Amino acid sequence: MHWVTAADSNIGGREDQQDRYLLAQSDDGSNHLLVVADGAGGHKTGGLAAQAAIDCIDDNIEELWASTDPDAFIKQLIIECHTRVLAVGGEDLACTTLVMALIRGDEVFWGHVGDSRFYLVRDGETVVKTRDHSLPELQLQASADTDHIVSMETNKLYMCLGAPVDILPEVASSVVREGDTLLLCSDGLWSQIDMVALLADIGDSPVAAKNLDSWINQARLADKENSDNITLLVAKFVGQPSLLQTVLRRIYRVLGKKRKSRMNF
Amino acid sequence: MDYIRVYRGNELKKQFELGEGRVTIGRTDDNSVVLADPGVSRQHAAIEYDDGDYYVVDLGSSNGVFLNSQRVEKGKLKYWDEIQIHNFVIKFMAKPGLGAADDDVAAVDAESDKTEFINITDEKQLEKLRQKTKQCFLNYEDATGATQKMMLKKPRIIIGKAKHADIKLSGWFTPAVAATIERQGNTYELVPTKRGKVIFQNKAIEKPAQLTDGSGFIVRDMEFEFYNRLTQTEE
Repeated sequence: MHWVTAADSNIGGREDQQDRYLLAQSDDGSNHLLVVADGAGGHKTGGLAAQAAIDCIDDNIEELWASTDPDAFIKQLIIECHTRVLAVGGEDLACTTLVMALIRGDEVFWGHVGDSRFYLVRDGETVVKTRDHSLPELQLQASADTDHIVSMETNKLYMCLGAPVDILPEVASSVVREGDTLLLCSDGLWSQIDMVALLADIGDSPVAAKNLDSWINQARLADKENSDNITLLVAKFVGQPSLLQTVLRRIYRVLGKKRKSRMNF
Repeated sequence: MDYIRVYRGNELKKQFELGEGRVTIGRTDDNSVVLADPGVSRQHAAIEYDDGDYYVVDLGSSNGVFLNSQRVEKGKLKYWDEIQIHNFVIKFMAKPGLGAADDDVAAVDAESDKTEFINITDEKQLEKLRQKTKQCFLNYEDATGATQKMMLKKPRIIIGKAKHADIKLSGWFTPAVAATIERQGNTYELVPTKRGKVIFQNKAIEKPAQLTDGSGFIVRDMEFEFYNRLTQTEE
Protein backbone atom coordinates (compact mmCIF):
# COMPACT_ATOMS: atom_id res chain seq x y z
CA MET A 1 0.00 0.00 0.00
CA HIS A 2 1.27 3.47 -0.75
CA TRP A 3 0.18 7.08 -1.07
CA VAL A 4 -0.16 9.11 -4.24
CA THR A 5 -0.26 12.85 -3.64
CA ALA A 6 -0.72 15.96 -5.76
CA ALA A 7 -1.31 19.66 -5.31
CA ASP A 8 -2.50 22.55 -7.45
CA SER A 9 -3.35 26.18 -6.93
CA ASN A 10 -4.90 29.01 -8.94
CA ILE A 11 -5.19 32.74 -8.39
CA GLY A 12 -8.80 32.86 -9.63
CA GLY A 13 -10.01 36.34 -10.54
CA ARG A 14 -8.18 38.11 -7.75
CA GLU A 15 -5.20 40.44 -7.90
CA ASP A 16 -3.19 38.54 -5.31
CA GLN A 17 -2.60 34.91 -4.62
CA GLN A 18 -2.99 34.66 -0.85
CA ASP A 19 -3.25 30.87 -0.71
CA ARG A 20 -0.09 28.94 0.15
CA TYR A 21 0.46 25.23 0.34
CA LEU A 22 3.08 22.68 1.27
CA LEU A 23 3.36 19.09 0.12
CA ALA A 24 6.26 17.17 1.65
CA GLN A 25 7.54 13.67 2.26
CA SER A 26 10.03 12.44 4.86
CA ASP A 27 13.35 11.13 3.56
CA ASP A 28 12.44 7.52 4.28
CA GLY A 29 9.06 7.94 2.57
CA SER A 30 7.08 6.83 5.63
CA ASN A 31 5.50 10.22 6.34
CA HIS A 32 3.68 12.70 4.13
CA LEU A 33 2.55 16.19 4.97
CA LEU A 34 -0.15 18.27 3.30
CA VAL A 35 -0.81 21.87 4.31
CA VAL A 36 -3.07 24.65 3.02
CA ALA A 37 -3.04 28.22 4.35
CA ASP A 38 -5.46 30.85 3.03
CA GLY A 39 -4.35 34.33 3.97
CA ALA A 40 -6.68 37.23 4.61
CA GLY A 41 -6.17 40.87 5.46
CA GLY A 42 -4.73 43.71 3.44
CA HIS A 43 -3.37 43.79 -0.07
CA LYS A 44 -0.06 42.19 0.83
CA THR A 45 -0.47 41.03 4.41
CA GLY A 46 -2.76 38.11 3.59
CA GLY A 47 -0.12 36.35 1.52
CA LEU A 48 2.57 37.11 4.10
CA ALA A 49 0.47 35.63 6.87
CA ALA A 50 -0.13 32.43 4.93
CA GLN A 51 3.55 32.19 4.03
CA ALA A 52 4.61 32.68 7.67
CA ALA A 53 2.41 29.76 8.75
CA ILE A 54 3.84 27.52 6.02
CA ASP A 55 7.42 28.54 6.90
CA CYS A 56 6.82 27.78 10.56
CA ILE A 57 5.67 24.26 9.70
CA ASP A 58 8.56 23.74 7.32
CA ASP A 59 11.02 24.78 10.04
CA ASN A 60 9.62 22.14 12.40
CA ILE A 61 9.16 19.38 9.86
CA GLU A 62 11.86 17.02 11.16
CA GLU A 63 10.35 17.12 14.65
CA LEU A 64 6.95 16.47 13.11
CA TRP A 65 8.20 13.36 11.28
CA ALA A 66 9.72 12.07 14.51
CA SER A 67 6.83 12.91 16.85
CA THR A 68 5.42 10.02 18.84
CA ASP A 69 2.18 11.83 19.70
CA PRO A 70 1.22 13.54 16.43
CA ASP A 71 -2.14 14.82 17.74
CA ALA A 72 -0.49 16.83 20.49
CA PHE A 73 2.41 17.87 18.28
CA ILE A 74 0.15 19.23 15.54
CA LYS A 75 -1.88 21.19 18.06
CA GLN A 76 1.27 22.75 19.50
CA LEU A 77 2.71 23.42 16.07
CA ILE A 78 -0.42 25.30 14.98
CA ILE A 79 -0.22 27.46 18.12
CA GLU A 80 3.43 28.10 17.22
CA CYS A 81 2.33 29.16 13.73
CA HIS A 82 -0.17 31.56 15.32
CA THR A 83 2.65 33.27 17.24
CA ARG A 84 4.68 33.50 14.04
CA VAL A 85 1.80 34.99 12.05
CA LEU A 86 1.07 37.55 14.78
CA ALA A 87 4.49 39.05 14.11
CA VAL A 88 3.58 39.65 10.45
CA GLY A 89 1.81 42.68 9.04
CA GLY A 90 2.55 45.24 11.74
CA GLU A 91 -0.53 47.35 12.34
CA ASP A 92 -2.53 45.84 9.51
CA LEU A 93 -4.52 42.72 10.15
CA ALA A 94 -2.71 39.73 8.71
CA CYS A 95 -4.34 36.43 9.35
CA THR A 96 -4.58 33.05 7.74
CA THR A 97 -6.46 29.81 7.95
CA LEU A 98 -4.50 26.61 8.28
CA VAL A 99 -5.31 22.99 7.63
CA MET A 100 -2.63 20.31 7.80
CA ALA A 101 -2.61 16.54 7.56
CA LEU A 102 0.19 14.22 8.54
CA ILE A 103 0.08 10.80 6.90
CA ARG A 104 1.93 7.94 8.57
CA GLY A 105 1.32 4.52 7.09
CA ASP A 106 -2.42 3.97 7.20
CA GLU A 107 -2.98 6.58 9.88
CA VAL A 108 -3.69 10.24 9.24
CA PHE A 109 -3.61 13.06 11.78
CA TRP A 110 -4.98 16.48 10.98
CA GLY A 111 -5.56 19.85 12.56
CA HIS A 112 -7.14 23.10 11.45
CA VAL A 113 -8.04 26.67 12.29
CA GLY A 114 -10.40 28.69 10.10
CA ASP A 115 -12.36 27.60 7.05
CA SER A 116 -9.85 25.69 4.95
CA ARG A 117 -11.04 22.12 5.02
CA PHE A 118 -9.93 18.53 5.34
CA TYR A 119 -12.09 15.77 3.85
CA LEU A 120 -11.76 12.00 4.01
CA VAL A 121 -13.64 10.28 1.19
CA ARG A 122 -14.38 6.54 1.21
CA ASP A 123 -16.50 4.73 -1.39
CA GLY A 124 -17.75 8.06 -2.71
CA GLU A 125 -18.98 9.16 0.71
CA THR A 126 -17.53 11.83 2.97
CA VAL A 127 -16.42 10.07 6.15
CA VAL A 128 -14.79 13.12 7.71
CA LYS A 129 -15.16 16.84 7.08
CA THR A 130 -13.63 19.44 9.37
CA ARG A 131 -15.95 22.05 10.80
CA ASP A 132 -15.11 25.61 9.79
CA HIS A 133 -14.40 28.13 12.51
CA SER A 134 -16.83 30.50 10.84
CA LEU A 135 -20.11 32.15 11.73
CA PRO A 136 -22.22 30.07 9.34
CA GLU A 137 -20.86 26.90 10.91
CA LEU A 138 -21.52 28.17 14.45
CA GLN A 139 -24.99 29.15 13.48
CA LEU A 140 -25.57 25.82 11.86
CA GLN A 141 -24.68 24.10 15.10
CA ALA A 142 -26.76 26.54 17.10
CA SER A 143 -29.82 25.98 14.96
CA ALA A 144 -29.37 22.22 15.27
CA ASP A 145 -29.30 22.49 19.06
CA THR A 146 -32.22 24.85 19.48
CA ASP A 147 -35.01 26.34 17.43
CA HIS A 148 -33.35 29.70 17.60
CA ILE A 149 -33.09 31.31 14.21
CA VAL A 150 -29.86 32.90 13.24
CA SER A 151 -28.67 34.44 10.05
CA MET A 152 -25.96 33.33 7.68
CA GLU A 153 -22.91 35.42 7.13
CA THR A 154 -20.43 33.86 4.81
CA ASN A 155 -16.69 34.29 5.09
CA LYS A 156 -16.73 35.45 8.70
CA LEU A 157 -14.17 33.59 10.74
CA TYR A 158 -14.13 33.68 14.50
CA MET A 159 -10.80 31.93 14.74
CA CYS A 160 -7.76 32.20 12.50
CA LEU A 161 -4.00 32.44 12.89
CA GLY A 162 -2.75 35.98 13.45
CA ALA A 163 -6.00 37.42 14.80
CA PRO A 164 -5.79 39.10 18.20
CA VAL A 165 -7.49 36.31 20.13
CA ASP A 166 -6.33 32.99 21.49
CA ILE A 167 -6.79 30.06 19.19
CA LEU A 168 -7.73 26.50 19.89
CA PRO A 169 -6.77 24.26 16.98
CA GLU A 170 -9.02 21.29 16.39
CA VAL A 171 -7.13 18.05 15.87
CA ALA A 172 -8.34 14.57 15.07
CA SER A 173 -7.14 11.39 13.43
CA SER A 174 -8.30 8.47 11.40
CA VAL A 175 -7.30 5.02 10.21
CA VAL A 176 -7.60 4.92 6.44
CA ARG A 177 -8.42 1.99 4.17
CA GLU A 178 -7.45 1.08 0.65
CA GLY A 179 -8.94 3.46 -1.89
CA ASP A 180 -9.52 6.27 0.61
CA THR A 181 -8.88 9.80 -0.62
CA LEU A 182 -7.91 12.84 1.40
CA LEU A 183 -8.66 16.36 0.21
CA LEU A 184 -7.37 19.59 1.69
CA CYS A 185 -8.66 22.81 0.17
CA SER A 186 -9.18 26.52 0.61
CA ASP A 187 -12.68 28.02 0.54
CA GLY A 188 -12.09 29.01 -3.08
CA LEU A 189 -12.79 25.38 -3.90
CA TRP A 190 -15.54 24.37 -1.52
CA SER A 191 -17.56 27.57 -1.73
CA GLN A 192 -17.56 27.78 -5.51
CA ILE A 193 -18.43 24.25 -6.51
CA ASP A 194 -20.97 21.52 -5.77
CA MET A 195 -18.88 19.58 -3.25
CA VAL A 196 -21.07 16.48 -3.19
CA ALA A 197 -20.47 15.85 -6.88
CA LEU A 198 -16.82 16.87 -6.65
CA LEU A 199 -16.06 14.56 -3.72
CA ALA A 200 -17.66 11.63 -5.53
CA ASP A 201 -15.51 12.46 -8.55
CA ILE A 202 -12.33 12.81 -6.47
CA GLY A 203 -13.03 9.47 -4.79
CA ASP A 204 -13.34 7.74 -8.18
CA SER A 205 -10.55 9.43 -10.09
CA PRO A 206 -6.84 8.72 -10.01
CA VAL A 207 -4.61 11.46 -8.61
CA ALA A 208 -3.45 13.13 -11.81
CA ALA A 209 -2.47 16.68 -12.66
CA LYS A 210 -5.12 16.97 -15.35
CA ASN A 211 -7.87 16.00 -12.88
CA LEU A 212 -6.79 18.61 -10.36
CA ASP A 213 -6.65 21.13 -13.15
CA SER A 214 -10.18 20.31 -14.24
CA TRP A 215 -11.56 20.58 -10.68
CA ILE A 216 -9.90 23.97 -10.24
CA ASN A 217 -11.35 25.14 -13.54
CA GLN A 218 -14.83 24.01 -12.54
CA ALA A 219 -14.56 26.04 -9.33
CA ARG A 220 -13.08 29.00 -11.15
CA LEU A 221 -15.72 29.11 -13.87
CA ALA A 222 -18.52 29.20 -11.30
CA ASP A 223 -17.61 32.80 -10.56
CA LYS A 224 -15.84 34.05 -13.65
CA GLU A 225 -14.97 37.66 -12.82
CA ASN A 226 -14.36 37.41 -9.13
CA SER A 227 -13.25 33.87 -8.36
CA ASP A 228 -11.43 33.47 -5.07
CA ASN A 229 -7.94 31.90 -4.91
CA ILE A 230 -8.32 28.14 -5.23
CA THR A 231 -5.99 25.53 -3.73
CA LEU A 232 -6.42 21.80 -3.40
CA LEU A 233 -4.21 18.94 -2.25
CA VAL A 234 -5.22 15.34 -2.84
CA ALA A 235 -3.78 12.12 -1.41
CA LYS A 236 -4.99 8.63 -2.25
CA PHE A 237 -4.15 5.41 -0.43
CA VAL A 238 -3.74 2.78 -3.12
CA GLY A 239 -2.95 -0.90 -2.92
CA GLN A 240 0.11 -2.56 -4.40
CA PRO A 241 -0.58 -3.41 -8.01
CA SER A 242 -1.11 -7.13 -8.63
CA LEU A 243 1.51 -9.17 -10.51
CA LEU A 244 -0.64 -9.11 -13.64
CA GLN A 245 -0.96 -5.31 -13.49
CA THR A 246 2.80 -4.94 -13.04
CA VAL A 247 3.51 -7.21 -16.01
CA LEU A 248 0.95 -5.44 -18.20
CA ARG A 249 2.32 -2.04 -17.22
CA ARG A 250 5.84 -3.14 -18.19
CA ILE A 251 4.60 -4.42 -21.52
CA TYR A 252 2.75 -1.16 -22.20
CA ARG A 253 5.83 0.79 -21.25
CA VAL A 254 7.99 -1.16 -23.69
CA LEU A 255 5.35 -0.82 -26.41
CA GLY A 256 5.06 2.89 -25.69
CA LYS A 257 8.79 3.35 -26.06
CA LYS A 258 8.77 1.46 -29.32
CA ARG A 259 5.92 3.55 -30.61
CA LYS A 260 7.76 6.71 -29.67
CA SER A 261 10.99 5.62 -31.27
CA ARG A 262 9.13 4.68 -34.42
CA MET A 263 7.64 8.16 -34.55
CA ASN A 264 11.11 9.60 -34.34
CA PHE A 265 12.18 7.86 -37.47
CA MET B 1 -48.25 26.94 6.16
CA ASP B 2 -44.60 27.10 5.14
CA TYR B 3 -42.87 30.40 4.67
CA ILE B 4 -39.66 31.87 3.47
CA ARG B 5 -38.17 35.07 4.87
CA VAL B 6 -35.66 37.01 2.83
CA TYR B 7 -32.89 38.85 4.67
CA ARG B 8 -30.13 41.10 3.52
CA GLY B 9 -27.62 41.63 6.27
CA ASN B 10 -29.72 41.88 9.42
CA GLU B 11 -32.66 43.36 7.62
CA LEU B 12 -35.79 41.40 6.86
CA LYS B 13 -36.71 42.30 3.30
CA LYS B 14 -39.61 40.07 2.45
CA GLN B 15 -41.79 37.33 3.78
CA PHE B 16 -43.37 34.94 1.35
CA GLU B 17 -45.91 32.17 1.81
CA LEU B 18 -45.23 28.97 -0.08
CA GLY B 19 -47.96 27.04 -1.81
CA GLU B 20 -47.76 24.12 -4.18
CA GLY B 21 -46.76 26.32 -7.09
CA ARG B 22 -43.23 27.00 -8.21
CA VAL B 23 -41.64 30.10 -6.69
CA THR B 24 -38.93 31.73 -8.75
CA ILE B 25 -36.23 33.95 -7.32
CA GLY B 26 -34.26 36.39 -9.44
CA ARG B 27 -33.33 39.92 -10.33
CA THR B 28 -36.02 40.72 -12.89
CA ASP B 29 -39.63 41.70 -12.17
CA ASP B 30 -41.17 38.53 -13.58
CA ASN B 31 -39.98 36.47 -10.59
CA SER B 32 -42.15 35.62 -7.59
CA VAL B 33 -39.42 36.93 -5.31
CA VAL B 34 -37.44 39.81 -6.76
CA LEU B 35 -33.93 40.37 -5.41
CA ALA B 36 -32.79 43.56 -7.14
CA ASP B 37 -29.03 43.25 -7.02
CA PRO B 38 -26.48 42.84 -9.83
CA GLY B 39 -25.03 39.79 -8.03
CA VAL B 40 -28.30 37.95 -8.51
CA SER B 41 -29.00 36.37 -11.89
CA ARG B 42 -32.15 37.22 -13.83
CA GLN B 43 -33.56 33.77 -13.12
CA HIS B 44 -31.45 32.68 -10.19
CA ALA B 45 -33.26 29.94 -8.31
CA ALA B 46 -36.62 28.34 -7.71
CA ILE B 47 -38.37 26.71 -4.82
CA GLU B 48 -40.35 23.73 -6.01
CA TYR B 49 -42.98 21.67 -4.26
CA ASP B 50 -43.05 17.92 -4.75
CA ASP B 51 -45.10 15.43 -2.76
CA GLY B 52 -45.07 17.27 0.56
CA ASP B 53 -41.49 18.53 0.33
CA TYR B 54 -39.90 21.72 -0.90
CA TYR B 55 -36.70 21.83 -2.93
CA VAL B 56 -34.43 24.71 -3.83
CA VAL B 57 -33.10 24.54 -7.40
CA ASP B 58 -30.32 26.54 -9.03
CA LEU B 59 -31.54 27.81 -12.40
CA GLY B 60 -28.05 28.08 -13.85
CA SER B 61 -27.14 31.20 -11.89
CA SER B 62 -23.65 32.67 -12.15
CA ASN B 63 -23.08 33.11 -8.42
CA GLY B 64 -24.70 29.90 -7.29
CA VAL B 65 -27.20 28.78 -4.67
CA PHE B 66 -25.98 27.74 -1.25
CA LEU B 67 -27.93 25.65 1.20
CA ASN B 68 -26.48 25.94 4.70
CA SER B 69 -23.14 27.07 3.23
CA GLN B 70 -22.89 24.20 0.74
CA ARG B 71 -23.30 24.92 -2.91
CA VAL B 72 -26.18 22.93 -4.38
CA GLU B 73 -27.80 22.32 -7.74
CA LYS B 74 -30.91 21.05 -6.02
CA GLY B 75 -31.48 20.58 -2.32
CA LYS B 76 -34.37 19.40 -0.17
CA LEU B 77 -35.45 21.94 2.43
CA LYS B 78 -36.15 21.32 6.07
CA TYR B 79 -37.22 23.87 8.64
CA TRP B 80 -34.56 26.36 9.70
CA ASP B 81 -32.55 25.73 6.54
CA GLU B 82 -30.89 28.80 5.14
CA ILE B 83 -30.52 29.43 1.44
CA GLN B 84 -27.86 31.93 0.43
CA ILE B 85 -28.15 33.80 -2.82
CA HIS B 86 -25.43 36.39 -3.34
CA ASN B 87 -25.73 38.54 -0.21
CA PHE B 88 -29.28 37.52 0.60
CA VAL B 89 -30.25 34.88 3.09
CA ILE B 90 -33.55 33.07 2.71
CA LYS B 91 -34.83 31.16 5.70
CA PHE B 92 -37.28 28.35 5.29
CA MET B 93 -39.70 27.92 8.18
CA ALA B 94 -43.00 26.55 9.32
CA LYS B 95 -44.69 29.73 10.48
CA PRO B 96 -44.18 33.40 9.76
CA GLY B 97 -42.14 35.36 12.28
CA LEU B 98 -41.31 32.43 14.52
CA GLY B 99 -38.14 32.40 16.58
CA ALA B 100 -35.66 35.13 17.20
CA ALA B 101 -36.43 38.80 17.13
CA ASP B 102 -34.62 40.63 14.39
CA ASP B 103 -32.44 42.28 17.02
CA ASP B 104 -30.83 38.92 17.66
CA VAL B 105 -29.43 38.82 14.21
CA ALA B 106 -25.90 40.20 14.20
CA ALA B 107 -25.15 43.13 11.98
CA VAL B 108 -23.02 42.34 8.97
CA ASP B 109 -21.38 44.06 6.13
CA ALA B 110 -23.01 42.06 3.41
CA GLU B 111 -21.35 43.93 0.57
CA SER B 112 -17.98 42.25 0.86
CA ASP B 113 -17.34 38.69 -0.17
CA LYS B 114 -13.77 38.62 1.11
CA THR B 115 -12.83 36.58 4.09
CA GLU B 116 -12.83 38.65 7.23
CA PHE B 117 -12.02 38.05 10.80
CA ILE B 118 -14.65 39.02 13.35
CA ASN B 119 -14.67 39.17 17.08
CA ILE B 120 -17.63 37.37 18.50
CA THR B 121 -19.31 39.65 21.00
CA ASP B 122 -20.83 36.86 23.03
CA GLU B 123 -17.53 35.62 24.38
CA LYS B 124 -19.11 33.39 26.97
CA GLN B 125 -20.81 31.42 24.26
CA LEU B 126 -17.57 31.08 22.36
CA GLU B 127 -15.69 30.00 25.47
CA LYS B 128 -18.28 27.35 26.11
CA LEU B 129 -17.95 26.17 22.58
CA ARG B 130 -14.19 25.97 22.70
CA GLN B 131 -14.20 24.01 25.92
CA LYS B 132 -16.51 21.35 24.62
CA THR B 133 -14.43 18.34 23.76
CA LYS B 134 -15.30 14.74 23.30
CA GLN B 135 -13.98 12.21 25.71
CA CYS B 136 -13.66 8.75 24.37
CA PHE B 137 -12.90 5.67 26.43
CA LEU B 138 -13.42 1.94 26.88
CA ASN B 139 -14.51 0.17 30.06
CA TYR B 140 -13.72 -3.53 30.47
CA GLU B 141 -12.83 -6.12 33.09
CA ASP B 142 -9.27 -7.40 33.01
CA ALA B 143 -8.18 -10.97 33.82
CA THR B 144 -8.25 -10.27 37.57
CA GLY B 145 -11.83 -9.02 37.39
CA ALA B 146 -10.91 -5.40 38.04
CA THR B 147 -12.67 -2.77 35.94
CA GLN B 148 -10.32 -0.91 33.65
CA LYS B 149 -10.85 2.38 31.87
CA MET B 150 -8.79 3.11 28.78
CA MET B 151 -8.82 6.52 27.14
CA LEU B 152 -8.71 6.22 23.34
CA LYS B 153 -5.93 8.53 22.28
CA LYS B 154 -4.49 6.74 19.27
CA PRO B 155 -6.25 6.31 15.93
CA ARG B 156 -6.06 2.53 16.29
CA ILE B 157 -6.50 0.39 19.42
CA ILE B 158 -5.59 -3.28 19.07
CA ILE B 159 -7.33 -5.98 21.08
CA GLY B 160 -5.67 -9.41 20.93
CA LYS B 161 -2.84 -11.66 21.97
CA ALA B 162 -0.05 -9.79 20.16
CA LYS B 163 2.77 -8.21 22.16
CA HIS B 164 1.93 -4.80 20.73
CA ALA B 165 -1.79 -5.13 21.54
CA ASP B 166 -3.18 -2.27 23.60
CA ILE B 167 -5.60 -4.57 25.38
CA LYS B 168 -4.19 -8.07 25.85
CA LEU B 169 -6.32 -11.16 25.58
CA SER B 170 -5.16 -14.60 26.65
CA GLY B 171 -6.33 -18.04 25.48
CA TRP B 172 -4.92 -20.73 23.22
CA PHE B 173 -6.87 -19.86 20.14
CA THR B 174 -6.90 -16.11 20.51
CA PRO B 175 -5.42 -14.46 17.39
CA ALA B 176 -2.70 -11.82 17.63
CA VAL B 177 -5.24 -9.22 16.56
CA ALA B 178 -8.82 -10.15 17.44
CA ALA B 179 -10.32 -6.75 16.78
CA THR B 180 -9.32 -3.13 16.42
CA ILE B 181 -11.06 0.09 17.24
CA GLU B 182 -10.36 2.59 14.51
CA ARG B 183 -10.96 6.28 14.72
CA GLN B 184 -12.64 8.09 11.82
CA GLY B 185 -12.50 11.73 12.86
CA ASN B 186 -15.23 12.10 15.45
CA THR B 187 -16.54 8.57 15.18
CA TYR B 188 -15.08 5.19 15.97
CA GLU B 189 -15.48 1.81 14.31
CA LEU B 190 -15.17 -1.65 15.74
CA VAL B 191 -13.27 -3.70 13.14
CA PRO B 192 -13.42 -7.47 13.65
CA THR B 193 -10.90 -10.01 12.35
CA LYS B 194 -11.71 -13.52 11.18
CA ARG B 195 -11.04 -15.43 14.37
CA GLY B 196 -11.84 -12.56 16.71
CA LYS B 197 -15.34 -13.81 17.63
CA VAL B 198 -16.57 -10.27 17.80
CA ILE B 199 -20.15 -9.79 18.94
CA PHE B 200 -21.91 -6.47 18.52
CA GLN B 201 -25.60 -5.91 19.25
CA ASN B 202 -26.05 -9.63 19.94
CA LYS B 203 -24.69 -10.63 16.55
CA ALA B 204 -21.35 -11.97 15.40
CA ILE B 205 -19.99 -9.39 12.98
CA GLU B 206 -17.54 -9.65 10.10
CA LYS B 207 -17.62 -6.08 8.86
CA PRO B 208 -16.74 -2.83 10.65
CA ALA B 209 -19.52 -1.47 12.86
CA GLN B 210 -19.84 2.08 14.07
CA LEU B 211 -19.67 2.51 17.82
CA THR B 212 -21.82 5.09 19.56
CA ASP B 213 -21.80 6.35 23.11
CA GLY B 214 -22.79 3.48 25.37
CA SER B 215 -22.21 0.69 22.79
CA GLY B 216 -21.37 -2.69 24.31
CA PHE B 217 -19.45 -5.41 22.47
CA ILE B 218 -17.65 -8.68 23.08
CA VAL B 219 -14.27 -9.84 21.76
CA ARG B 220 -13.29 -13.46 22.58
CA ASP B 221 -15.59 -13.51 25.63
CA MET B 222 -14.27 -10.24 27.03
CA GLU B 223 -16.95 -7.60 27.43
CA PHE B 224 -16.37 -3.96 26.57
CA GLU B 225 -18.33 -0.76 26.88
CA PHE B 226 -17.54 2.15 24.60
CA TYR B 227 -18.14 5.79 25.57
CA ASN B 228 -17.84 8.90 23.39
CA ARG B 229 -19.34 11.93 25.07
CA LEU B 230 -19.10 15.69 25.25
CA THR B 231 -17.44 16.99 28.34
CA GLN B 232 -16.30 20.37 29.58
CA THR B 233 -12.55 20.42 29.89
CA GLU B 234 -10.39 22.43 32.23
CA GLU B 235 -8.36 23.82 29.35
